[in-house]
Amino acid sequence: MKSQIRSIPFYWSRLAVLGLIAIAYLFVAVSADRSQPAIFGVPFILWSTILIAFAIVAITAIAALAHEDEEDGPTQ
Amino acid sequence: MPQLFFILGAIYVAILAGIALSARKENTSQESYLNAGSNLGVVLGGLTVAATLFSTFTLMGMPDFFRTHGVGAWIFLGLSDAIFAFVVLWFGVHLRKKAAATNTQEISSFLNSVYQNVWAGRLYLVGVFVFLLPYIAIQLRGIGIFLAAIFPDLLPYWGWSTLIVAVLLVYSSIGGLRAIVYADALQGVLLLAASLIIAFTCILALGGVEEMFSATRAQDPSLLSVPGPKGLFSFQFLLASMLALVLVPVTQPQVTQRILVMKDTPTMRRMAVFLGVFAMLVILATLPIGLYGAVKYPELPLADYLANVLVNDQAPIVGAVVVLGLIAAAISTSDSQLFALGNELRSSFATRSKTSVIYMRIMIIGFAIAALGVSVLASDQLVLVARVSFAGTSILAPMVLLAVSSKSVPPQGIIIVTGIALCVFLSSVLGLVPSQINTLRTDLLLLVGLSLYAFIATLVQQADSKKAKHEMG
Repeated sequence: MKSQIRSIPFYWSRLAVLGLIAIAYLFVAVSADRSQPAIFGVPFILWSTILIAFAIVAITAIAALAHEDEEDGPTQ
Repeated sequence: MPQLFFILGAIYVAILAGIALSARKENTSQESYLNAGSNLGVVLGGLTVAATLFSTFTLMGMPDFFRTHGVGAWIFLGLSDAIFAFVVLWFGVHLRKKAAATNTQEISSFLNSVYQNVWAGRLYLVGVFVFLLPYIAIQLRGIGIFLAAIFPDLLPYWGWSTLIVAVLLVYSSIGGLRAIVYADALQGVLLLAASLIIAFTCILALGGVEEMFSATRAQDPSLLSVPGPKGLFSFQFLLASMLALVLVPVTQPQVTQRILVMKDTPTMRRMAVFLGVFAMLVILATLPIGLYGAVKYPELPLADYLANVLVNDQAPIVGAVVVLGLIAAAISTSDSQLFALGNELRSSFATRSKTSVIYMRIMIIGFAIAALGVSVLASDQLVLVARVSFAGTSILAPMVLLAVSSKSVPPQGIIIVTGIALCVFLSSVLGLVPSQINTLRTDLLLLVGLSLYAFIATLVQQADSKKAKHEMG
């Protein structure tokens, strides 16, 4: 599993995050001033963007793990 | 509550004194004083970046945003903070590589080195000073006014602000960045604990999560949608705010400094993940605090709402911890920014001689007094500059990103164009030029224009370089 994660190129994480940002802002654009489906009372624009935010953090974690062996040494 | 607050306050000041003295012992060299030994671990690094990022606005401004403008506040800061963590990871890796190659640890000297032009660093310094100093001043003013409202018979608001500045100057002068980082970690824990406890009590008071949203819908259904009751969270506003916030790790010295003083790059990567998780927890916690206010105190003025939700409606011990947490938040954001500003100026004008730290201390004291003065005399125009400080510093991002990504000396034109863009942006804030052109925000247009310029200028430079090589070959 770890070796599979490490084989992911770094640019994939950038593409994935950009895609998620685009989806989130698409939701912002289309759900403005409209009644929205709710889960446990939580409106769509809120739960969908909470999920997207956590997905971005998860991608950050995968990207950090994927390349954690790369070391450029201390800055000084 | 006042007795509890003063007991906890005394303990907090004693801990700060201990931190400062312990950091002083650990600081065996000037490098150690300036860079905390460039040895920060994941938790300490994550907490110090979080504490620097989350000012008093997190526990005072965000709940009010949810109360007044609804759930769009999550997209405004929660979603943006997740992207922020990713930018810390992505930009941090490249910055560390390039900074190591140029042997620099401050952005102004890094820019001077990469551009081979001192005006790059000077422009950066002007940009961060113009926007960060008013931000520090407004922060000091805000916490001073809040404390004067909570303890009306003790001190005027400027007295509280002065006391806070005195405390932060003493411990940061004694212990340097290491003391600031330790104090930040303490503040980070206080902030997270206070936000989660208050959020929990607010949800309980409203009868549960589902009931909280039902009550909010009954109060005003537009609070559960964007752009919110007052139309603030429009698509453009959210996009421009997100861009301004996620460019903070690129442009603001207190964050770049922390990226560079992490122990190594793998630790910096893990710190970015820690930061993302921490930010999600803190911002999610402000949602119920805000919706509680929307249901219980929709009409109250801001200061009264905050006094009720953060202090009066809480158990005395929680109220005392919250007030202390707010003071700690104001201190940790201000000290980090003052120290980073002083360090940037020192690196720009002095070498790493022994006397440069003395100059830096004097500069930090000078900036702190200036910020204090500005906080007392704050005019409406200064408040405006402080409110757009993140958008203002984001104008510097294309110039910094070009320096980090470029393999040779970047196109020099970006320095002039960035200078012009900063002037135009300041003029738009002060009302001298329109803040919107047609229906587009001026700050967004400037950022897009600068990014396009940087991209095209790099392409042209690369084409010229290839042509020259071809002719020589």
